Amino acid sequence: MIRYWCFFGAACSSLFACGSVSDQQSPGASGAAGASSAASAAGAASGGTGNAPSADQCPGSPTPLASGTSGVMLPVQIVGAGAPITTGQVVTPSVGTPYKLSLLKFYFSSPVLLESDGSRVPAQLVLANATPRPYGIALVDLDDSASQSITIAGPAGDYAGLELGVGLPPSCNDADPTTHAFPLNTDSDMYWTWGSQYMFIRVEGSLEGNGVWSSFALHVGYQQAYRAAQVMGALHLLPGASAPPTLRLDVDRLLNAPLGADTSGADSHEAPDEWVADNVANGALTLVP
Amino acid sequence: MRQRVAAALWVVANLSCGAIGCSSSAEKPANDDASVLDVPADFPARPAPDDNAVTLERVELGRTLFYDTRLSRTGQISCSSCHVQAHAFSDPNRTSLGVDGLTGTRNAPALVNEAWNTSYFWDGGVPSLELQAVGPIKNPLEMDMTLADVNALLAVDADITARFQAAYGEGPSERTLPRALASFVRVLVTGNSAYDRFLRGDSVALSDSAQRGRDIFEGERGQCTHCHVGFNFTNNAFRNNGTRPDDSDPGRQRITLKDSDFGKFRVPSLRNVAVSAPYMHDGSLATLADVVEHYDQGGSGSPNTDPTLHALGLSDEEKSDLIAFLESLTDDEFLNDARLAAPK
Repeated sequence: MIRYWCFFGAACSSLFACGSVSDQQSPGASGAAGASSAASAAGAASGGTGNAPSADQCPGSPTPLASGTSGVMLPVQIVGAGAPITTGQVVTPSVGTPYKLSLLKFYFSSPVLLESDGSRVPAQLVLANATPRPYGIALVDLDDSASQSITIAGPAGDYAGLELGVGLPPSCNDADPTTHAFPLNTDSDMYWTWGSQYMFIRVEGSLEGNGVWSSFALHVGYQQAYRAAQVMGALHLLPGASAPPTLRLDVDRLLNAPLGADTSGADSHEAPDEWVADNVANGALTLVP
Repeated sequence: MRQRVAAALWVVANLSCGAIGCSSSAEKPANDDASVLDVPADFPARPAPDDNAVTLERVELGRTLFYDTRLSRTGQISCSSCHVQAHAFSDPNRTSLGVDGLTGTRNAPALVNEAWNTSYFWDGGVPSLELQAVGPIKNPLEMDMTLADVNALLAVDADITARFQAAYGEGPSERTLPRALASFVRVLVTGNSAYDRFLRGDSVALSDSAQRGRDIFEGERGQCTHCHVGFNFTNNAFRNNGTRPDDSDPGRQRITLKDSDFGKFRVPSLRNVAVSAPYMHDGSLATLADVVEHYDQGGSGSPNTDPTLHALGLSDEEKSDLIAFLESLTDDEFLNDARLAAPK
């Protein structure tokens, strides 16, 4: 299998303008770094059922990218009733209750590239300049268009899909917000100051029923609400590849509450609202060509 | 001769300051009496995190901030608005008034010997004083500020910025603001009540009634030391003490998500309890007599009541004695300590 390499930065002006080298010819120095990165990402992607590591395992400067790494920038599109939405906009889904959002934010973490034979290739979230994102995470905010794309870095190649952590790995969920920068600081407004952990998904707004609008607040957190969402679709980390696909979050499906779920916000600080996380992992998040 | 020596020392001190960038007078702490850092000899050593050792500069900076209304959105609320020194840094109101007159659902607890506690807030969701300090500032029902906004206000204050620099080597920030506040709370040490003096050998410090009350408190009649044990009268655990059966506050369950923790709250210290009414997590009991009556009845019927609670059948005299003992835990020196009051 041919892989493509790219020295990000000075040697590579674009994420996609990379040379190529075979596996066997990969620069020797990348081996150890790549293995370390893979182990780290794989551990984080496992989903938060083990003991929580200490906060210093959520480093602001994650493992540098290994040589032979390429990247692809994926727009993140937040849609309702089949079209992009903004805060304050009334959305009338084909099924369910009209709604409008006042706030929607969520974390991505721990990306894994999925190959057609089912094998998993650890990847990294990077900034547009191809340096690893602080803490290896991204906070997407409906009100911040600059946050609505993520760049995945990994070994160049063709992939059949992507796995993304929706939420934070335990190491970052236990971080001290007063010693961590955005998006893990207190003013990211994703930190439960009463519970010393982070909300993974925060969605607030109002729902219409019989002409009356009622506010709701869903704050999805606690490690048990971490989900590794798999989104399938052709993904090319190759030089000169065609336009990348879009990550689409369908808010209609995100808010598709199971019978009996309390969306009033009354329990938003008292329950992990795991059904919201389940919705993300089970179809609300897709990869669209 | 003495004057000449003093003058020489002054010169040396100035030279040293020049070499290391010593602080100006504006950076001096409001109180230069380091005795505020003292801990009673019969107390355990006071814990502090490695990155926030207790120093006079940090404590005095935290003291200034504790009484500073710039920490609230309306500029009207400070930490001291709800934590009043005369009430052992608690709030005599059942629930506290935050910005715009908003109120929460829980009673502001006394701040006594917090340094030795292992978790904070009534449900214990916060593991350090540093993180605790963030909660009220950001709570929309309390101060409703971002740390960035607070720090922006403080950053234009040259005096306090210099004091941040002297205490932490950097100005007001998300890291330094809560650490300074935590440093002040860490020195809110109370350990000179009549009970303490009695333990230290003053045999007349406790009245006969208080001594009988102590026997009830510690013995089989009251069994209060199931929870209120040790030098700080708390086991730092979470218990459902038989609150109202219609109380919907999940307490510790909110943190652990375990049904078995429903209605459990952190066992508070009882030091200065006589001046920190009202009582319980919701301030639902107005007086010590109400509290004693509550426990004498074995609680008020919460379905998850701790199994150690049961009706006691105390006599009126025993109840009075128990209250006398609780009143002996008041430390007037602490309540009137000028070193802990608002800076002049």
